Amino acid sequence: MNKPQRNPEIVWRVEKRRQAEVLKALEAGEDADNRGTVILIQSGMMHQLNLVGGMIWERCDGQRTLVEIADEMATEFAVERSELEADVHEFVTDLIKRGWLIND
Amino acid sequence: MKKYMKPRITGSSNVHPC
Repeated sequence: MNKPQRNPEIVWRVEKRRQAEVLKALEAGEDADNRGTVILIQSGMMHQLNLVGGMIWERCDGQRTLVEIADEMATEFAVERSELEADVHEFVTDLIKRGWLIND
Repeated sequence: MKKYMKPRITGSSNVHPC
């Protein structure tokens, strides 16, 4: 895959208040991996993505490679660069299979 | 640096339950 792009049929948005709450929770050292911060609506279903999933989703604009997405996010999170890139790859692959992302 | 979490889908539901 080269530069993944969001399926234009999907309506989505970042839930700003939820995102702010999650950021605050992380600062307090809490786990927030099961808390949704981005919602997607496609064909009668609503899906939620957690903070990192949502940040990947936001960056899948057809302009960035997976490596570039991982590079941007590596500056924000305490995680090994290799682990982050593997996670981005796995997540994007899953969303392409679901048809939410399109492989450009 | 923020505490890291693995990316995931946290939930799915019907927009029109009935």
